[in-house]
Amino acid sequence: MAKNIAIKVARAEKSLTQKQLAELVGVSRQTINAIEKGEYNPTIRLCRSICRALGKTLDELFWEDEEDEETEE
Amino acid sequence: MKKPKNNLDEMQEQKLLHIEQRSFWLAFWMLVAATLLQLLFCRDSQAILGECIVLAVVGVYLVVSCLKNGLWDRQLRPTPKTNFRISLLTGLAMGAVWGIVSWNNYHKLLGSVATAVFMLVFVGLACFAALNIASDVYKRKKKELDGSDDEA
Repeated sequence: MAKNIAIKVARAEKSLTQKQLAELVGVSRQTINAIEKGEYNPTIRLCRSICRALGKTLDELFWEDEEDEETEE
Repeated sequence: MKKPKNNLDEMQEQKLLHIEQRSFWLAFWMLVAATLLQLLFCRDSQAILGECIVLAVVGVYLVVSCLKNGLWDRQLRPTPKTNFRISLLTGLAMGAVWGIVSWNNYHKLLGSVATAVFMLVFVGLACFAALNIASDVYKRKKKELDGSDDEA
């Protein structure tokens, strides 16, 4: 899975640390870290919580082009 | 009764489930190995009664739960050909084990071979019948699950 740079950028825009974002969405910091590093594929429920916390849409944070997905495979 | 609060988030929960799954299979196969070793090296077959009961309960639970949820194996398909191959392998393994057990107990070659052949045929046929019944139930359940909750 590719790194999720979009979350990192959106988090930085809001001046949030991984820990703060984790507290906002009710998960552990290691989970946020794993999502950003592309090591964990979150459920749609958690994706929505992250989007709400960062004020972004699902597309903005989690959409991947077909080319990116093919490269990962 | 109120369910206690889960302290784990979804990723931690998945990791824990993964660890529990590996622990389960480790315990399962170690119990199988311990049972076989006792069967081969201990004369008292009643010594493995406890292990056999545990394995039987776990096996029944696994099979019933999987069938209820319309699940079969990750790789193998529920076809008569695959069922036959698995039954043959199981029969061969059980034939070999019981042949050795018979040899250990009585030291009679003909008797041991006869025991091995009997167990091969008996276990192989029993396994084949059980697998075919289970795969039949699985197919019916899968059909039922695939057909339910259809869009209006």
